[in-house]
Amino acid sequence: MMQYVADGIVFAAIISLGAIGLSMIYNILRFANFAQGEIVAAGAYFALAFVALLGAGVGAMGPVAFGWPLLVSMGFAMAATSTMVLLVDWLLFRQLRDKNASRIALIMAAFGVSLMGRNIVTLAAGGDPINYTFYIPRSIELLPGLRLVPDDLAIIAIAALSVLALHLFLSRTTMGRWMRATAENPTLARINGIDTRVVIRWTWIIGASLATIAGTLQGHIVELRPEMGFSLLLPMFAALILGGVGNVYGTVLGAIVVGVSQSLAVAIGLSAYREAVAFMLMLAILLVRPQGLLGERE
Amino acid sequence: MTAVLDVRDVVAGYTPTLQILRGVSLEVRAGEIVTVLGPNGAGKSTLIKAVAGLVPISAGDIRFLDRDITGMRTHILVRQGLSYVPQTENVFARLSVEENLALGADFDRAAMEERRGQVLDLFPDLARLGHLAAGKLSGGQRQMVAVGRALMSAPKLLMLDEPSAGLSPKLAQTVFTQLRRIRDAGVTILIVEQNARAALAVSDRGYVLAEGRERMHGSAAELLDSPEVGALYLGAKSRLARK
Ligand SMILES: Nc1ncnc2c1ncn2[C@@H]1O[C@H](COP(=O)(O)OP(=O)(O)OP(=O)(O)O)[C@@H](O)[C@H]1O
Ligand SMILES: [Mg+2]
Repeated sequence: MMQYVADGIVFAAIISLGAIGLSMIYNILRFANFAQGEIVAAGAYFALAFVALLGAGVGAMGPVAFGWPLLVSMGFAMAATSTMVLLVDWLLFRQLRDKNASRIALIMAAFGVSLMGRNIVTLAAGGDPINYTFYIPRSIELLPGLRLVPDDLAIIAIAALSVLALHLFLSRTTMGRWMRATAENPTLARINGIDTRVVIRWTWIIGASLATIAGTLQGHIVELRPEMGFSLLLPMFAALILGGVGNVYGTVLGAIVVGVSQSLAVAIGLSAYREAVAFMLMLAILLVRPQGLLGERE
Repeated sequence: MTAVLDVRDVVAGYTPTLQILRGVSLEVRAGEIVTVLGPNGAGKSTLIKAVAGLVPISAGDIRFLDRDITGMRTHILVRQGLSYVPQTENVFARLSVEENLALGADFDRAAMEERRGQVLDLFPDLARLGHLAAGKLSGGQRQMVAVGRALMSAPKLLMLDEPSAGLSPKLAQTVFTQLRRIRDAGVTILIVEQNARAALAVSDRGYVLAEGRERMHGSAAELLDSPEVGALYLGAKSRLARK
């Protein structure tokens, strides 16, 4: 049972890192970025490329089956993914914004990017699953009766640190304050001397960086596939909506609910329906709290 | 006297096909308080927004401190000393009062403390509200935050869109009294108001806008005396009072 909850929380850690980007783009650029899954996948594949370039494997940290080579590769991949995302924004989304395109046009454009992204990954890396390394999860007994996989703990710790870093960034830095201001009222932000174009760039960079962490961790414990991000899109949206659009911390809470309920569904033998169970729960919560767990009523 | 703001024959609108301002000229000189009056939909807010770079301008030009600022981006204008308090949604409801004020000076952190002191001097009530979310404040408190925030950037020109809207007559009076103090501290002020009498009472000059064109302008006293302004914006009472 413990292991199922742990699995659920690991899954939650990964989807929350992916969904934060979704949430930030939604709040600042006001559209649902259906290409967020591909940003996760791109991050994972960029990390793979850097692992290959470094040629030092993925390393290890004590019982944890990955170490600095994977983390360093992930760091480079964050920069690469951010650059790629900024380029796509500059080539596509910026043009649409400047032309005052409708929300639906932005979403359709994101759909296009999503499709193209998956094809490009397939062309570049092939359609078959790849792994960073040959990884078999080995659980160790932490306390009598409580066995956990060290890698799972490491992943949860990395996600928690990332969310903490994001929280400090948003609450303590000037750029963080500018982001919160722009999310609430872009016109008033400009009237405060804020260059919203710079805020938009930071939004993409943070979203892409967290998505890269999500992709790399997912790639490590499962595998890399061109559709790996796309298959996370639904749970990411569920986390976003469940937590309350407009609240980044709500997204994290939503991810935990989605992740744990999916793995508990597996625990009670409903593994084939685990996504359905998570969605039923999401619907049930939304019927009681339409604004999401931490959302404010409009 | 030098003009702080010089608007010349400006044509502007939200879409290229529908012009809301159809050739508006207006001047605000250093140290003045100038009020723009006009009926609903006259284009008063649009005029301020056009000056602030928030509405596309298709003809005419705008000079601020002797520089051409026509079509300049809003955040750059603000950094050059032009401040604007919108008619509605003029505070960040989810941010604390403290953060709202800080946002006004974020691009110029060095002067933050000094300006916060000046703003709290003007609106002492804000000091004890610092940690509250601005969305939780009353209308009058919110207006203080909005004006305070605008002053945090140490503007040369402060533009206010209906600063007394929705306030009790007493609070409105407080706002106008404070605007006078702000002007006396060296800030030139442009106000858009429905509350013509109270606004003109603290103003040096005024303009009347209707259907995107200037109807008349003159000193505040002239406008207060004008039968046309009296009939349209001061209510029938003022005519009776003059008789
Ligand atoms: N964002 C917008 N997009 C399109 N048209 C607009 C927009 N804002 C205002 N308008 C139109 O521009 C015209 C002038 O509006 P404006 O807000 O400037 O008037 P106003 O004089 O400030 O009126 P009020 O006293 O009601 O505030 C109106 O016809 C209005 O419908
Ligand atoms: Mg108006």
